[in-house]
Amino acid sequence: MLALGGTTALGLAIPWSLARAVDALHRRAPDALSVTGQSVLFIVTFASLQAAFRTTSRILIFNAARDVEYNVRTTLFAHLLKLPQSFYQRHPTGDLMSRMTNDVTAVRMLFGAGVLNFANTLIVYVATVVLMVNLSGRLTAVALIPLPIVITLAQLSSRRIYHASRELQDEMGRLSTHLQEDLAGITTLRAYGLEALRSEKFEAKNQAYLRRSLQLVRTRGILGPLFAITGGIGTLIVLWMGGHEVLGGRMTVGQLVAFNAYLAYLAWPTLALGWVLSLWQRGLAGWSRIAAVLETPAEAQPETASIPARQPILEARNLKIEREGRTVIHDVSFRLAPGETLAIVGGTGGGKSTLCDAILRLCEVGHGQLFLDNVDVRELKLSDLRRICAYAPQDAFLFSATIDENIAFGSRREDPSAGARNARLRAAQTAGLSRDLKEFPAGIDTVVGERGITLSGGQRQRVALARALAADGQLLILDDALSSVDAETEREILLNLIPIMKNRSTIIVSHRVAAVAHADEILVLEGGRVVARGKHADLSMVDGPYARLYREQLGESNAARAAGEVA
Amino acid sequence: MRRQSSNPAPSDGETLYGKLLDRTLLLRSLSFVTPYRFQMLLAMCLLPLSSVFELAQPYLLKIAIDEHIAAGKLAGLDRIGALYLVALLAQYAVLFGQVYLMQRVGQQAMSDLRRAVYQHVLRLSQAFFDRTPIGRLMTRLTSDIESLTEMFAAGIVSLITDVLKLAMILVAIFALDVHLALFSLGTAPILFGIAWIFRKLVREAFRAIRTRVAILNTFVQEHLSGIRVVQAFAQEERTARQFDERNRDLRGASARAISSDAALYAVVEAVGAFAVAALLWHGGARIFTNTLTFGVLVAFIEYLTKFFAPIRDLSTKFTVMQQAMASSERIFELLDSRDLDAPALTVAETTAPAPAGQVVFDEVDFSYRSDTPVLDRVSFQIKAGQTVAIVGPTGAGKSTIIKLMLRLFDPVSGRVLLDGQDLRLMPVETLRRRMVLVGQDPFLFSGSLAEAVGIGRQTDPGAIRNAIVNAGGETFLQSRPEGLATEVSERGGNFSSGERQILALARAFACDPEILILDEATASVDPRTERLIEEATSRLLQGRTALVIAHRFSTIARADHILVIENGTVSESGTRAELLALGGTFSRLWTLQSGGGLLAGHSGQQSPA
Repeated sequence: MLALGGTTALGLAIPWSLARAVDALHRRAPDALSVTGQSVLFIVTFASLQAAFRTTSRILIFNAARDVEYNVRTTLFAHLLKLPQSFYQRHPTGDLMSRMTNDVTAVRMLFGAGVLNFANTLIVYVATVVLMVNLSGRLTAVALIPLPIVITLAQLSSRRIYHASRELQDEMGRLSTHLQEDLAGITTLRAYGLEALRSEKFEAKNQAYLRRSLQLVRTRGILGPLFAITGGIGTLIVLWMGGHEVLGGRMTVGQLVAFNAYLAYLAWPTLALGWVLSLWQRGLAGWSRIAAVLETPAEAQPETASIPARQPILEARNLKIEREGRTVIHDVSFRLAPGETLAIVGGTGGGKSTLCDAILRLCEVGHGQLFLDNVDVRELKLSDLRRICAYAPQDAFLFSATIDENIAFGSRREDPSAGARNARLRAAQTAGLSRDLKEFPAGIDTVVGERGITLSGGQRQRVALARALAADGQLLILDDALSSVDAETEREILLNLIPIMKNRSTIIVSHRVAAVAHADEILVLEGGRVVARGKHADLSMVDGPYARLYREQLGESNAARAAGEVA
Repeated sequence: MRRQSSNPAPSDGETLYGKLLDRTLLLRSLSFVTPYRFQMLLAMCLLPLSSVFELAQPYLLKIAIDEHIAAGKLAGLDRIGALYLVALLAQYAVLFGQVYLMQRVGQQAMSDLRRAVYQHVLRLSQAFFDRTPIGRLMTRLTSDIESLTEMFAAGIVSLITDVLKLAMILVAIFALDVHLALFSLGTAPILFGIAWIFRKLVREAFRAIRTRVAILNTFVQEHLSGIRVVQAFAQEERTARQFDERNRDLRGASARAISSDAALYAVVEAVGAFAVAALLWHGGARIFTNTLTFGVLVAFIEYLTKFFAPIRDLSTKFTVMQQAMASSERIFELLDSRDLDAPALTVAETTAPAPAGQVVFDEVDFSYRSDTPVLDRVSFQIKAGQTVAIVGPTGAGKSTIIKLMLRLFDPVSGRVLLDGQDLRLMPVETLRRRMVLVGQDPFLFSGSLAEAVGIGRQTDPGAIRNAIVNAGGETFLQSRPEGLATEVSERGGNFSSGERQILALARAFACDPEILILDEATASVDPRTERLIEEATSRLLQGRTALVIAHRFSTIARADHILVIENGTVSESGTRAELLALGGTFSRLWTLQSGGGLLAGHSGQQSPA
């Protein structure tokens, strides 16, 4: 700010020196030549100093703006990481991306160019007015007549610019959402020949964005000239009034020229004011979109949290879960002690995955429903709860990194030691990846594409299983984690898992009787309710959904065998 | 995971961009303006007009001071005042029109560029998408284009304005006093020198920024997509830390750009002041020798101030332009990528036989990387109306066969024929319109349920409802109160995986293709859904040519022909009976799943039978 003030002071001193020389020259004073010489020296000195000050002030302000941008981005991303899954159901990745990029940039512009030019304008105005008053108070009063008009205009247009900017930024969010989706689904898009259709939809958004841009250009474009004209009228009044003053002998021609120079000095900041205003409003619009995310409350964390035991007893008491206004889990209760296995079977959309999500608190869990060693999970810190879990989801999302890095993702600390690497290799082996790793060009250090695209569905699931196994968590949650693995490999993996499951508590969701038959308890979920529970031996004997499932799978294999025999 | 450091591939892709010539880049950017040349021309015609009005103002001031105020004649001052006002109003009215037109041209051109890049990206090869992160492409299509737009809005378009303005001021000052004009322009070479030095500095700084922006966006894109995994493994802190490294990198890169930018602006401004000082010194002396009138000197000072305003503007535009050039390098690099999806060799529409739906793989070799063959001399045939099932272990090359059939890739050698014609000889849209792929992990587009299923090929709600019912989705359609209007969120995230599979089948029913390509999802659903899917699959296969990567007994049982793919070759081929009689891999897999497997192993112990 000081450097900025210096810049402006020097900037005003230059016309002052100029005026002195011009005045001397006009009067043809005997010392005019030496005055001119002095002024020239002054101007050169002032201009050099001004350059130094200007560079400093710009560097300081723009760096501050980049710092703001950096901080906003860090805060926003850190907050996004804490937001609940329900938030991500409502906000497509593309839109969030546009908030992280476009809107953050708009905020940076507000703090950089916006603040710089606003401060500039303000300082220039104040300083210039002081100097003008020095020359002629009356003339200054007259010259400032248009100022209230400028202020009113500014206020009126601010709201319009804000709204136009907000709409433009929202439109960018929609455009970005569309792009993100097409790029993510490129294979489907291509296989269905949707190029024309998606292009059409893209074009609609592209055009909408263009329309919004032009709307903003119009709103903004009219502002600058309006300000400038209002300012110009000031000059006119000064010229007219000043003429009379000079003729009346109350002012010299040199003073009038200097006065006019000051006024001219105001013209640029006035014109820039329109631009500054739009930067401000665009920045504010961007900020409002960022704030909307920041104001979404992160998942509630208890003030004082207890640390769960490493091998806790997991207990659900009349668990009830709602999602998108529908109750998807009704009154589910169970108890899982260390070393035990709880299996969950049931129809599609029956709530099996939701139950797993609830244990990880990836969805909202009510008070007094889920306990670890008799401590309500809501009284635990999310990170503590999740660290005792080792989760292998059905939808095996992998990062575009090496397989080893993916497996290491769940570990609490980054551990470069050979021991840790061996542990990961063992996890990969348990997950049935040994053969695959041998075939990959760089083995466990092979890079997989985005979402693990270069791997088959079964391979992805097995890497995700290895990731869960390598995590320190004692509560193994396998949410239909082997669904895409072929029968032979699945059998191998299940055999590998037996000793591991003895040392941990396991929740296993599956549709294959083979995978759940060992469990200490099997829950059959239909429509979010437990319709049957017990051990395999009991359930398969009693007529019910599980026995039907069992008979069907048995029947299928019998039928297949029969078919084979017939062939 | 130290993604960037341990795996240089993604960041390398960012820095490998060639340094094209500025002129080439600028001309290419300008080529997008060509369709709007008339608007542009009109704007340019307005320009001298606005400049005339603008430059008339100091001239009127000079008259007012020289001839009226200094001379003590007030008469006529009113008239000059009125003229001044007219000039002022006219200047800004014309200016608004001109600025609006120019902005419009710029925005339209950039909208065209965005469309061009988007459509080009859609045509790029599958291999390109396998190695290019979405986040990077998003950066090209959004913020890189935005920075070019800025150049058009503030840069190129008004660059012309500024240059013309400069030219007119030159004319005005030369008309006033040639000698003084030449003297005033002494600073011009200095300015050029400064611009030359700064160009390199600024450009390098902006290249660094663009690279880091893309890296940061790629990171954000990926981790927001995988937010569930980040949260489930409680890795928020580590992820935030990794993000911070990239954010800090970007912050560091921008510091250099700021310094160059700030210095450039200040230096140009100072040079302007020096020029005025020189003019004053020189002009002052001449007033004393009576070779210059006082009014001319004042007007000259005015003009010179106005002369340096556009130059100062040019210096800010200079920065914007360097930034835009750094972006346009990357955009054009992408536009120039010839790594196209399924280019037609020579389209021989006339020789195309009547569509029957017979598919032949003829000695097909394929590899994604030159050193590791994926398919080795694969040959087989699907007769029209037949179902061919492919079985075999993971990674044997089954999905590659599907990709070749859809021409997502082309064989390295050998041919894939449809009705006797090489796929490469037919337009890829025609080919893909005859087929439908139902994949393992179906990708659903967001929108209403009707849109997600009809996918643009079917819009009739009745037909879409039928398709869902045919696919076995009647119950869950009824369970959603909004029916076909139910919102499908990104990737179908609000549907269970079983429901997504049913919807993928419904999508295939809605499209009613001649050829079906089915990559059966393995048993990830409960028996009831399984039965629904099984029935739907059988209805879908009815009367169509089909290639199926089969996991279900029922599908294998129904197939007319079975191929066993192992290590990229067809190891067994024949009907089920033939293969079982052969006693090879197929017969082993078949008995494993149906009799001797883990499933039956248990049932053997527990079953009362």
